[in-house]
Amino acid sequence: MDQAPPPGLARETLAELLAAQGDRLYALALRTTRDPDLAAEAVQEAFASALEHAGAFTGAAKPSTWLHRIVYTKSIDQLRRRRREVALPDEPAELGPEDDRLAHLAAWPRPPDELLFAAETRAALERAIGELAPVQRAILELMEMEGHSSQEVGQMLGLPPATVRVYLHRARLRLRARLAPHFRSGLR
Amino acid sequence: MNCQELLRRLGEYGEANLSPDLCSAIERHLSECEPCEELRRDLMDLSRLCQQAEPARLPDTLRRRLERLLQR
Repeated sequence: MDQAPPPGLARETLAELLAAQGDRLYALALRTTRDPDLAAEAVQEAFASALEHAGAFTGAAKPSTWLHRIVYTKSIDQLRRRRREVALPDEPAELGPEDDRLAHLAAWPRPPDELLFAAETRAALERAIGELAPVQRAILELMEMEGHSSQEVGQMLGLPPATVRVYLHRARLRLRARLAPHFRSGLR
Repeated sequence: MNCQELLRRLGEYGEANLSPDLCSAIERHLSECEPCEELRRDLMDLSRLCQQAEPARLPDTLRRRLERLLQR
């Protein structure tokens, strides 16, 4: 069991987090903003803010969770400032009729692994992810790509874990629908 | 469990907090309902695909800038 860190966060701890989790923090910012320049700005602002407010760290969450939260917030700030996207669109926090409709679409023709993992499929996946809302992209990165639990991601994004699971499920249904034509044409 | 309940629960399936009874009900439904089983397989394939995504790397210039910031 992790021992609760003491209140306040040392500069050295932030340096350790940068070394150990810098790539993941940048991946979260890049997935959320979809722009390498905005992602870099967000990560830089996040570390500056973490340093400035390190004394206010209470230890209620793990330091890495706290830092992920700041990176996500700064990423959303970047999008807001540029008015690029609605960061948190009005997504229902419960599954509804539109999700049922997506779930009942025809299944993929079973793609063999060489098609499932082909470069074209990965490019199609990236395009499809790009059409999701920023919060869904962030959840997808943290849960599908990095394997965090809905509990952890809820703390990172400031959402109830049940809402995180609904957003993830809806995102996956949308990706499934979006990728279906790719697999159908790839198997012709 | 019907298809709609299955859909509500599929998002949680795989996380550790489901009761054994609920897991059994999900598995029983999946074994009897081909469309829901196909949906589950698609979502599993999607997860495998996501896990193959190229991981992003913090650019070296930014890493050095942050290291300097934290050394001050």
